[in-house]
Amino acid sequence: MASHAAFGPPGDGRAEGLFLARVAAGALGAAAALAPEPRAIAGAAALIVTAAWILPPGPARAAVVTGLLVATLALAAFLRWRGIGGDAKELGPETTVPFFLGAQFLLRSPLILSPMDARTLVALFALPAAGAIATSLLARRFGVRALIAGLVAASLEPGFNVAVVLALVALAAGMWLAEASHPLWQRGVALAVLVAPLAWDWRSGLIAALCGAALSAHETRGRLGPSVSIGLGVTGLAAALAMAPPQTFASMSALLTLGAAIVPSLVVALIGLRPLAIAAALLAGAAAHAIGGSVALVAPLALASLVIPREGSRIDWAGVVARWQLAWSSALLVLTAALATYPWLRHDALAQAVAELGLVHHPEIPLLFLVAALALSRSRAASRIVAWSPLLLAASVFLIPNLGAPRDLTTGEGGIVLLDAAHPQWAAEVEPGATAATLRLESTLLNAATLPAGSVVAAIQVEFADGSHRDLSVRSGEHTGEWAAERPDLKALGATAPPAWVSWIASDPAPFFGQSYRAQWSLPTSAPVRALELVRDASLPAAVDLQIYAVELRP
Amino acid sequence: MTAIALLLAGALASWFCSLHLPLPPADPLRDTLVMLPFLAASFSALHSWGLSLGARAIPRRLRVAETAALLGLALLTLARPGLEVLAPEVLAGAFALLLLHRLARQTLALRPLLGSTLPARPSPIFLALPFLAYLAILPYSAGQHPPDGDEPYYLLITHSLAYDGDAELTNNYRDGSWKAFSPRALEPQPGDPHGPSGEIYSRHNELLPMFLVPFYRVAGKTGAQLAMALLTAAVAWLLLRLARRWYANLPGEALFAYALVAFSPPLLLYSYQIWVEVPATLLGLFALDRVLAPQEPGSTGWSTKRWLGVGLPVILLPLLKIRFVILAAPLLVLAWLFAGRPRRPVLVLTGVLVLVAGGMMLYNATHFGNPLKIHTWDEVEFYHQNPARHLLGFLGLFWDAGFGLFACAPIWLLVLPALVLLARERHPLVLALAITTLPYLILVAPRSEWYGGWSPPFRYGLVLLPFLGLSLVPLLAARRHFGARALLGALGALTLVLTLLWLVVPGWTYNFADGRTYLLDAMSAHFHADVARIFPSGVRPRLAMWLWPLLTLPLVPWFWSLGRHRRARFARGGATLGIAGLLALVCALPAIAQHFASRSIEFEDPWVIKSGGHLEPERWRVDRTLFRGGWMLRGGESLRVPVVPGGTRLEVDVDLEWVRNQPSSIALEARQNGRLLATWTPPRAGTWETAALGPFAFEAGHDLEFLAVGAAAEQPLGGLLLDRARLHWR
Repeated sequence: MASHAAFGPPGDGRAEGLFLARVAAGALGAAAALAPEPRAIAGAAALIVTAAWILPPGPARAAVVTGLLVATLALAAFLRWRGIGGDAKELGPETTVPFFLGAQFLLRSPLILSPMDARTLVALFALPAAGAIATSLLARRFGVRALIAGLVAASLEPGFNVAVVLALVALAAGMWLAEASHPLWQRGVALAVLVAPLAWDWRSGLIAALCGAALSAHETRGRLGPSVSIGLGVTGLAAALAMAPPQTFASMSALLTLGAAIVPSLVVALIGLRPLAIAAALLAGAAAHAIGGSVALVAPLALASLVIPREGSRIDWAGVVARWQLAWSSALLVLTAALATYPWLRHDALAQAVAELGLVHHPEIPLLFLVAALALSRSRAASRIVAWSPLLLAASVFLIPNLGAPRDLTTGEGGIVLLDAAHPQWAAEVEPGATAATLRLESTLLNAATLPAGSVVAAIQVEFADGSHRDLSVRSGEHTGEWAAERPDLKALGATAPPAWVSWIASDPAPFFGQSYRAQWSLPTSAPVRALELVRDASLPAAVDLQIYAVELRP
Repeated sequence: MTAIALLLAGALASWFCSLHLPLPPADPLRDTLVMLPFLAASFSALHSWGLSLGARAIPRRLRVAETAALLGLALLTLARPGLEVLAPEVLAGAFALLLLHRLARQTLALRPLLGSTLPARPSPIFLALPFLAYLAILPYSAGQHPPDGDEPYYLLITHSLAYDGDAELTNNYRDGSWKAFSPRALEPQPGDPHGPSGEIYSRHNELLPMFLVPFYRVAGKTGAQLAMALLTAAVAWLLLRLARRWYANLPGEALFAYALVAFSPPLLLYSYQIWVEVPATLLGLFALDRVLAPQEPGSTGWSTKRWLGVGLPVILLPLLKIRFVILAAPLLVLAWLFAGRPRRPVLVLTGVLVLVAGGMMLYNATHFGNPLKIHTWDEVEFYHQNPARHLLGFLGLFWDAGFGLFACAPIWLLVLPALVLLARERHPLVLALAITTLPYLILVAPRSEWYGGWSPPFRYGLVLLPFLGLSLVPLLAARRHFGARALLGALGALTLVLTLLWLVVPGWTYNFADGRTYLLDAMSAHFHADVARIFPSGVRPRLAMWLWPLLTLPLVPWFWSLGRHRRARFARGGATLGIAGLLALVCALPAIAQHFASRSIEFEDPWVIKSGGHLEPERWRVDRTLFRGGWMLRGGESLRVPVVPGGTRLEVDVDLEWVRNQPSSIALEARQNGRLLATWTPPRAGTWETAALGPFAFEAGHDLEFLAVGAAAEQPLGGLLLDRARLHWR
């Protein structure tokens, strides 16, 4: 891939090719180290190279290459999992380190575009390696549940940052501390590690330390252990309620996202009145109340993962739940990785993944499957149904009304329309009888770095067949933004932009992520749309252009 | 019962999808998605059928993973219009990959059905599996590439036979019958025979269209394509049956060869297309199977079964295409050699063959005024051709980058060590192969259209493919050592990605006979380097055309034998290393292209940067290979060539023609970095000249430029037609 890029013409294509080559080197190297028989990975590499060589540079090629990389890493992990017979106690660092390293290359691929200084190298290599070692330590005691904890932690941010790694490390330290057979000095070191997160960020660090301490108390042999762990949870929640004003999640979807990650299994654990599950729930509540955001929830959710009922426990459906959660968490991580990596680069990849699966609109779907599975889990046939539930879940996505072909109205050169001072207007007729529930606009602004956020850049008028019309405003920073907002000099100017819909690598001269944006408006479906007009705002500076990639009407 | 229920449910779901799928009819993946439930149900039913026959089960995890992947891809296909960045070709490639995975797994699962000795009659499941595979690729591939080459003409004859009851096409061209199966207007092919009253007939024979008529009447073009898919599947099934005659104790290896023939190019590419080569292959296999069948106990002469089995193909082959006489006659020689040296049957069948061929020639002579219909005796008199032309055509059939077997599916390079092994063992297959193929190749190789014309690769060689497949069986018996694994890994991976590419972009299998291919053109344009010169071309002979055979003939067999006597541990990483080696070679490709000194320039090639002008003659010119293709440069236009220097002084010979359509003068200038190197004025118009430019000093790092200096040409167009340049470095 690097050869194709380096010997090819200079420009954006070369920069993107070299970037993809680096991402591929990390992900494929990790996959090769992970897979017990690297033949399959070599075959996948041949496919990825073909895609990189054949497809024209740009987001389309990047989406295919990174999608294949995600699939290859998932395949390698699956082969390794099968190779160790599904025995999570065998999840040593030789397994977790390559897996987490490969995941980091995909989940935090923008790091690869940064200068390769010590900070980047630590973020790319040291953090996932530390998280992997912590997960391996936890796996000795908790088996598959430790792996679920690792998957959940990797999905939340996404990728491994310091807070995520410290949360996993605190849990591992808590477990180490509880083991009486360890020498005193080791337990002393474990205690120091347990409280270390406080030095990074005291609020999220405190939650992580409390989670580690609750785990330690629970695992300590003695009658008081479980009570102490619940006590720590109660203390954490009480302190949060007393000391901090309530934080709210940005949206309901964020809460549902986190719920989708682990809560169904946590509910099962809570039904079984497991002390650690109660402590995890209390600490999750404390984190949600006092801190907000997904990073604070890493430690409580990872802790919650460790209390998923085990196979062979008194409740015979417990193993089924663990398998379901493993499959579900893996699927979420795969989807998160696909969305977090170039060219999508979603900062809220997990939320997007859940939203793409339709769970925001249909949160009842996973619960429905879980309940059905649990209700039937006493039979062998039922366990098969549960094993198939992620698949059935995928099938249920067909219910989403978002699928299918939108009506794209743009017919400019290459499908792109440019509204500038000389050509400020664009209009399109819609075929008779076409109703639309949603209007989507994919666009970017050119030379708009200094435009204040919220400025109206264009007006949209939608005309309906009954003569009525609807006026909409396209605002900078909300519906669209400067295409080069991520370029360091424009970033320094304070160029504001909404989250990107698709990114691409531009080299001007150093590579950075160019961005296009997608906005969406609801339309009344009572009357068919007759025509649509877009007019660039006359008050805009003359140099500012609006580039439109797509204007879509969706049924 | 379960299988039938599954099929019914699948068909019902497909019907439902055809009505309610939220994709526009023009979406290239719509038909694939509509067929998906039926195909998934069919594969599932086939799996159940296999289990009931005693086949292994495909591991449940894999089936679940496949189903999940299928659902995921279906979802992506539905979401694609909204995502905008996913090209349909990418999703088609993913579907094809999934299909190939299923085929590989299912083939492996069917292994127990062959037992320890190949059965006399393999289960029909071995027919159903390739048929399903061809059915699966049909909706997308056929949608992407409508009938092309000879195909629409066969369909037009079929249409005429089906609806007019004759093979006379005058009315069909007039009323546009082709609209039933082709989006492109169909005109008679140049040189098509005419009847005594000027009626238009086709140059193609009517046997294949006659076979297709009932299918065409039922389901139109799709019916004909399905019938062809069935014939192609029968080729694969018969191969397995024929393998028993020589390799009864190698069932696993025979299954490998069966899968290779059935599921890899070129047969896969022809599977649903309408070419006579597929039924000819089937007839050849059928006859050979009967020839090699053991004598029935108690009988002295030929049984009726054998008479029919050998006789029918021998009669039908010339009726398919007169060219196949040269395939039918050797079958009689094989019958003499391998079926008990029977005097009477061979003499009778030879007489019948002579009668059929003679009758056809007589009919052609009386009706069309030419016993060979549209061909000339020159084409048959191969002995008049230059031996170099024989060699070029023969090597081109296998090594040519655009039309050769090895370029379209490199795994067939395994034929080289396989033939070495057979020759060493003095296996009778070598004799059969020589008798069947050599006369045919001797006739085909020196033809101007040795490559098969406008068709997918290896068209004329397709009839040999089962023999080549069979030759692999003994070779594959020892495939676990390092060299074998490495070659299988490297060539298998390359074949896999090329197969995906051919399935996804079927138009790329139809190359122009100009020494280029779509793939090499794309690379040359990307790297601004003459990548094509590294690969062999029989159409545009170059050093690589001779080097590749010279290198691969000894090297591939040698590499295959590597590590044969080492421990198994040594062999373990063979496949991975093979793929890694392949990737390293691919990685080196641009470096090689940009390193070795340029010796020639074909001006129409994509690595030459053009400021204007046009291709001459244009691409779709009939019999374009008979013309010297070139780039027409009008006054004021230029070409920039990123040549790789091979010295400091350069002399260039440019083959060109001055096309003078109006009174004006023109000159050719060679420049580099703005510096004038040489000027040449054509002495006369209308003839090919060689302009000798230089010698002059050449600065590395700058492109060589060719400019046409003169008045800018208006209509009618004229200028300097540049064909090629030869570069001499000092």
